[in-house]
Amino acid sequence: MRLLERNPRLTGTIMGLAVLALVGAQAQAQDLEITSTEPGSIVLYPKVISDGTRDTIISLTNTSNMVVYAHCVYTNGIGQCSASPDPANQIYYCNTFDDCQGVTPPGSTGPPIDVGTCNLLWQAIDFDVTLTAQQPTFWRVSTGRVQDPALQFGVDCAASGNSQICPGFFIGDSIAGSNVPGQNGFRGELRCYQVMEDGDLLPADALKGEAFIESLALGGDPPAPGNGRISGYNSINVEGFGEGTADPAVASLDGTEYARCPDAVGLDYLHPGVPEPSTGADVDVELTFIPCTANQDGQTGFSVQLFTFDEFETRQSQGIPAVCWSNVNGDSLNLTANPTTTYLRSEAQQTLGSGNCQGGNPTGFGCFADSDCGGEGICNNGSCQGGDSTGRVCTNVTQCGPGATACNIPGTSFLALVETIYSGGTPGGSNADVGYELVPGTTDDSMGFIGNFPDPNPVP
Amino acid sequence: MSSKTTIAIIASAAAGSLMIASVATAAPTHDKPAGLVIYPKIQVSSADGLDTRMHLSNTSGLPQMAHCFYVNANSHCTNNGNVCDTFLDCEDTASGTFGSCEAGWIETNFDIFLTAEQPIGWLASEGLSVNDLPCRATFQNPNPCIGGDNNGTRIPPVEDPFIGELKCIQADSVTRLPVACDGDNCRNDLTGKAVIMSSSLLDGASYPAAGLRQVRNDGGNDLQVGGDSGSVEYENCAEVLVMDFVYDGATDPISGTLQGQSQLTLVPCTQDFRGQTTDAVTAQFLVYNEFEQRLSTSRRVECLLDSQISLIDTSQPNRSIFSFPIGGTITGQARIRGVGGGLAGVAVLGLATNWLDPDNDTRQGLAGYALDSVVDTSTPDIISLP
Repeated sequence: MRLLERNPRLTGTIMGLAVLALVGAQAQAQDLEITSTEPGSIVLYPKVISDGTRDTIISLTNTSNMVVYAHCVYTNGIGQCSASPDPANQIYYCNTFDDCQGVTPPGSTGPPIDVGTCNLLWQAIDFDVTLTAQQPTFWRVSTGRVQDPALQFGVDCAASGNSQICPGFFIGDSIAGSNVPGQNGFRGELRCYQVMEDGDLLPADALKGEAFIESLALGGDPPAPGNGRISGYNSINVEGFGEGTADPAVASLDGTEYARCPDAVGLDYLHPGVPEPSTGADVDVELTFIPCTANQDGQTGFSVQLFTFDEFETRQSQGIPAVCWSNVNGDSLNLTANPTTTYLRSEAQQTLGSGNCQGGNPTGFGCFADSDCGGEGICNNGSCQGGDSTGRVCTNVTQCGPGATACNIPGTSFLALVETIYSGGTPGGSNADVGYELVPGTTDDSMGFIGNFPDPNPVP
Repeated sequence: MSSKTTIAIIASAAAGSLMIASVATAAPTHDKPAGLVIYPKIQVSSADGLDTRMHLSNTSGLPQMAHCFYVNANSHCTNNGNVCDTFLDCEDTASGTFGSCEAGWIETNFDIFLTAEQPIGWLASEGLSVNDLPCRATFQNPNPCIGGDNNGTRIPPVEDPFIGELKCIQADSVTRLPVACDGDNCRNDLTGKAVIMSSSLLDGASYPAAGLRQVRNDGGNDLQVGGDSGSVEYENCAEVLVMDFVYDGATDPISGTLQGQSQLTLVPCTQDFRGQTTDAVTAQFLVYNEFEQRLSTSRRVECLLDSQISLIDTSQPNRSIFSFPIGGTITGQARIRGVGGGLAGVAVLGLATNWLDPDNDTRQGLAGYALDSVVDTSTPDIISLP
């Protein structure tokens, strides 16, 4: 006020500059993006494999001139079928209920059998990484990485147990150089959050990364075909803004704290089943979807509506129920596109009206109808809000009766990746690409994580 | 606190906020459809079993046209016109003499007409002829697809061998220039990716095309990329790119035997297709290893730089700052600053059995990835169209 009395013009200038600063800050917040080629505050690797047949190298880099702390969470998307009727006690891995139905045991000549339901645990493993200014780092998923200066550098994994050449902590039983079946393996995702030294979220956009999924060594000199085939992709980075978040352990992807996830994601790929045009290789594709909302205390179900266009403008649509981490094989897509088409483009949209399975198996899955819930549960599409019907299951507000104000539909945005796999005669290779934003996000998501930095039980 | 100090602080905050905002608002995107897409690396070599599969999609519900420019970055012999790397490739066996190997850049432009929502693709070695168009209108079948037809599309095959780039600009089908627009009515409908395929490995290295989104356009021949906000037509190119890489010669942590051998490709954003001249950009490299040790080098990017990373700064790979014997760690980070213009780039990680002896090397795998943009250009790049 004293300033106002002394020099109104000066005060106006100050106010103008303050507004300018505010506008600048708001402009920054509004321009937050989900990007694969700019650093971000949350780094997502949608597809991480360490299942005995393939392994993954994770690269994580600090692009800033300050020390950066990252709190990372693996989520294992592999499930196990609940029954194992054969004498060998064979473990059957699954992603959906259907994976446990009509299974032919290895070596069996009998009819296919059902091996129970799919138990999905979505086990989360968290750990911390500290990066000095401009520091790049990497680790191998099956072995992780240790921080132990006493370990010899460059020594083979088997000789030293751990070393810089075979760094880290162990997720599965995969051993470098061997072709171990996928027991206790890992197929899932990795998220790394930029945090402050005390573990609170810090949206400062310093992190970026890549992932390289590599087929495991098959031995031989020269190496056998298929050895060292790799898919590489850039991490998906969520930009943030500010010096902190409203909740230190929950990132709000609301366009203010962090960027919103898109409402629709685009993917370009080859038609599975057609020969690759230049090599004639057989082609298969895998589409991977991960929810933007990550509640580490529970499961996040979501549903994907996939519209696929071919070169002849033929369009088909289908729904894909999912939870936490969904990896859909080309065969499961059941694409009916023109069989002569080679190039496809899919638009993956968040499905309005989808819900989560409640009861039965698998609970938590995204669903369109009760039949998606293993035949035992119901598809809880939403819950009524307001009036006497509050809490009743609904798919739209008219089902809620008088007094109801809304039918709250559960759902979440998602991100996607497509991997194209080549084969034919000899084991082939693959390539992977993250999806691109087709429709900007309009819905908010949140990512919460477990643990605080420094982790009381640090994973080396 | 004095009033001057207060003003200074708030002004700094305002300037900082706006600076940050301006940085955040403009960057080449690989994650959204755009009005201009850049494929920095297209490679064909029938001798090495390499070809590039191109993908280009129209994400809109309307037919769209793309005016595209291949840039052939092959060097050629002065005596016989053959593609060469050095003068040793230019031997005239009859006379026993050698021609010189001259760098040159040849531009070839063509059009692609996309129907609504259509994905299209082709092999760089083959192009796409009229007979292969998916939606080809004829007298007998004037409406082959609901959302338009591909008539007018002719994609030429490239030279073999070939190294070069492709730029595609969303354009008007008559003028072959971008449509004048402003703000929300500007079209940004193109996405693309390229997959460099090896027939011997049955493996591919894919990368997304870099997209520059239109913010306004005057419909002229000179496209302003970045720069002054009043005249900018496309979002900025990157002034600083970041490449994470596996040091050449570093042992692959998974196989335990294979060695890293990566390629880097850079192209300048400024290009004069009308005058057929090049504006070289100097790429300055700051290379950090995992111990934060920093080394640097620079390299001129005339029209396209495509190099094994350990040959960027020296002809002796094991002495390169991109090599494991010098870097000392498995992975590193390179910050690449374009001096004199913006850059776009892509990296391909390869795994080799003998990275220092190409004659006895058996490539095992390829993986492509895009470079990250951390600083946008402060001065505009200009793409001049014929």
